[in-house]
Amino acid sequence: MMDWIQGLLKNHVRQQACDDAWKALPPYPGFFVPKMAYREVKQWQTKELRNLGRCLLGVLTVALRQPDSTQVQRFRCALTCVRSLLDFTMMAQYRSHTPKTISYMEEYVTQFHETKDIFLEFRISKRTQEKADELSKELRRQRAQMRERVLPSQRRRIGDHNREQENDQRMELIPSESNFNFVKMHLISHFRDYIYMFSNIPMYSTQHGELAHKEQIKDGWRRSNKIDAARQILSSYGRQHAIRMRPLHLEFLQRAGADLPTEVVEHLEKTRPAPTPPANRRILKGRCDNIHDVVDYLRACNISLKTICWELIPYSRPSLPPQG
Amino acid sequence: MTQLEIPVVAFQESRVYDIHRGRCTGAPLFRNQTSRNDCVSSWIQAGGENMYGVLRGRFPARLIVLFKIRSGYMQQDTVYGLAGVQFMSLLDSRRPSDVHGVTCVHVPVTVHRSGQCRISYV
Repeated sequence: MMDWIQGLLKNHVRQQACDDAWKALPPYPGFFVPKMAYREVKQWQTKELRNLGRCLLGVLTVALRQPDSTQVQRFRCALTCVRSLLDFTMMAQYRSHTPKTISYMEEYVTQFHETKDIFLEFRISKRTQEKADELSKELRRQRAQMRERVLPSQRRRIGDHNREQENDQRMELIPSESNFNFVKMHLISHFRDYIYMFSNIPMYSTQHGELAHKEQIKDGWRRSNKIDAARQILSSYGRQHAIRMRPLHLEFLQRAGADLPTEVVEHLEKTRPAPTPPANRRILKGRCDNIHDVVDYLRACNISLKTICWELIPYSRPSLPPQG
Repeated sequence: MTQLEIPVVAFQESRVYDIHRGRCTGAPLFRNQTSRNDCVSSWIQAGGENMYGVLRGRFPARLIVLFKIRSGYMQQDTVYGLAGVQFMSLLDSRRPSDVHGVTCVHVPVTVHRSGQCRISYV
């Protein structure tokens, strides 16, 4: 989709505006601020792409602000299309669904299919490109033959007319030859059925399997002597797995009240990790209800607003942004 | 005080709160790079729950300063955390657009003139 958007931005000379908006994204908790403009990034990681999906609509909205009269309808259509697809991807990541959320997803897909034609010209395949180039060449050949018989005073007018004709022909050919018939686009029409059949879709994400590939396969391959490596990889991982399972079994036995040797109990206590709460998540505890802002607080403390303002000015002045 | 821990209700889990860490260094640099004044968009209450459409009476704002006030003489060991925030100006009649669903805001250049600075209890 980013290729389509970049194509649209290029056609309407908005690429710089998009890059500026992209680089000006403010820091926000849980959001990684991009350091480079979109066009400067050569390779995208999955995490970065996920980050991009969160802020793409905002960036595009800023980039397509203040359109002229010829661009209004196209920009509206493009924004609606991008929004519906992004909304769909966001809802597809839900961990639980209701009939209402599924109906929302269907609405987004329908809306996307209604508005996707705005990006059709950027779905041009190599074959269509070649065909369009051939047609252009043919037209130019015909034009060259015509030019011999045309008066020099008429050449400019006819040249403009021919260029327009060439563009029209190209614009007719591209939509007729381009389409959105590819597998990923078709798959989104089956999400509803999949959710009913298999519950939430993120549960079947393959990213954990990709991570496990490093530990289970690549590390084993490095440890092997590269002769009959598959067997060595399997046995290496099997050994590791068995060693990790052993303390878990012993801990379970200890909790169940089994009589374990003293050395084993000491070892288990030594190696047991301290229970720590998850870093980014916790249950909120009670808060003070009667004080909502500084005015309430000052009233409670019997301090005048003027006094506190004079106290706060030295703190706030160095932190204020520079005045333009 | 350069970090504000903001509990935000986790999505689809009503009892669990995600901790969003809003950084605010004021003018000084953050880790030898530019100074950092994070935007806090969903927890500055500026009106009733039925105001501004999906914003539900809340305004996007930028952290300017984080500080504490200790009330030793009134209540022993009571510390109140406060934040100086700068409200952003909402464009397009303060409502999300029907086309893209995004509420457009911009950071006002001057903060003193229209009284867009506010101190809020955190």
